[in-house]
Amino acid sequence: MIGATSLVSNGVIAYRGLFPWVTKRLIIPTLVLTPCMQILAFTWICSYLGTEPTSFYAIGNSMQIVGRVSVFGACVAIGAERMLGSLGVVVAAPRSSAATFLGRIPPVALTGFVSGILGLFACTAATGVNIPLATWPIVAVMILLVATSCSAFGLALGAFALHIRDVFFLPNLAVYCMMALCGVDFTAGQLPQWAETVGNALPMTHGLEAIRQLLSTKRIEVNEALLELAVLLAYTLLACLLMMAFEWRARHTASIDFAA
Amino acid sequence: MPFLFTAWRLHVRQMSTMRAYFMDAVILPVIIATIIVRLDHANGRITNGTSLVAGAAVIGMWSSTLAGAGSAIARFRAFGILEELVAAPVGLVLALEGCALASSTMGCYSMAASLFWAILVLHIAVNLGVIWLFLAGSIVLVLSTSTIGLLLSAGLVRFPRSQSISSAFLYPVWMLTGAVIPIASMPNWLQILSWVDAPGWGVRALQNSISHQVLPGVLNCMMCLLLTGVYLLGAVMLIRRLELLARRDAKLSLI
Repeated sequence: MIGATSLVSNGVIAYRGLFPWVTKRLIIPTLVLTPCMQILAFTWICSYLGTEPTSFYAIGNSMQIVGRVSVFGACVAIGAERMLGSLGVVVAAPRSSAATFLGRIPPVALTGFVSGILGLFACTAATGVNIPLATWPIVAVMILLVATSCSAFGLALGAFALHIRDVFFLPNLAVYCMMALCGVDFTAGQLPQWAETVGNALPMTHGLEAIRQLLSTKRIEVNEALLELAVLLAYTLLACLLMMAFEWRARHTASIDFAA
Repeated sequence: MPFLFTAWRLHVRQMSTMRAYFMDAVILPVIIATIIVRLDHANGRITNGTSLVAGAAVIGMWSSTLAGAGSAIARFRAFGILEELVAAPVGLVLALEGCALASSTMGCYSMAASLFWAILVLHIAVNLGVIWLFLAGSIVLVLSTSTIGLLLSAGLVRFPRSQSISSAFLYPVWMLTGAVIPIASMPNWLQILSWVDAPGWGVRALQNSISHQVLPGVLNCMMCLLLTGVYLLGAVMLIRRLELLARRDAKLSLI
């Protein structure tokens, strides 16, 4: 219990240190205004071009924001250490890097969750999409689950910061691919089979499906929620394994700068 | 002019080697082109595929402009070269315009990538219509986006993290161009707002080219240039004022 508390408090301290720009002055444009603009733009475009009702695209694009903020945040939580020159110190510390960086998931996931909730509020207000009051608590839990699994995915990508120098390329690419493959703007069958298979292995796909099912049938799709949870655990494990492997390599080669 | 050319060439070469710009200029428009073309096909619409793909390319152009020019002053300050640029006998506006032009030029990668993607992956029969008009439209589009970037760069000088602010302009300006959704389908107040959106006239020129409407295309190009001139005037005045303040107070905080 003490270990878990220390893990989270370390994560919070690191979050405050690595994201100094999250100030009152910038939090609105970064985590509210820009995401809301993206949600509204894509909801509008997809409703105009697509076949589904506006609510389908509004919810999909709100979740895309959750994914974007969480994947980026988690990746930056490691990448920024390299940028600031403190990655070597973190890796050389007598504590496992995996344990250190796992503690950074909760604040990042919470940021993604808040951004997603605000985006969903803005979207429902602007597009007239109705989310029944009774379903909000379950929707919120699902958004938190999606934010956490996306953060774990971001952490797995961020682990490459221990290996490559330009780590910000990966989350950018991942976020854009998630936009196309996770069912944000497409129903099942509108994408090629290979794309759906890849999408199923990515975070957000199952959580998004669960939220859509919940809003259309008023019942939670437990299987989809469990699949999202499985994706979360799989990416957390992958992140730990990658960090352990890269950390081992660093210690083995006695090199702090691991970049190729 | 030689200074502007040198600044433009330097920034283009620099940006071409950076993956972040590659992402904005190539990956983003390609993904967006895929999404909108697939949605369009799923709906069974008979929209001109070339027009949709060109519309997606515009976001790449605008996105790289925002990334490159929107935060140019903040970036120069972070690199420690703002002082030299302000103190140099050549106006700061030329240094910034070189950067803005270069980031918009990256938009040519967007156009090329989107069109190649459309042909090779989306299997769209790309037809640019009147080629010279398409090229002219693309050039005025590059000029207009770079000038908005210059204006943003100067306008956001007070913000140390101007990139965060300028990102908020990405989708609204793109939507106002009517690149994907016709402006006629937007609310009246947005239609009126789109009249002062210079890149919107450039996009209309591209659409005219694709649909072989030469005269409206030329007129749209001219309108785009006219508005670009107005933006440029505003940007020059703003930057001159900033320069004056910096020289008068002998400091670069400009706040």
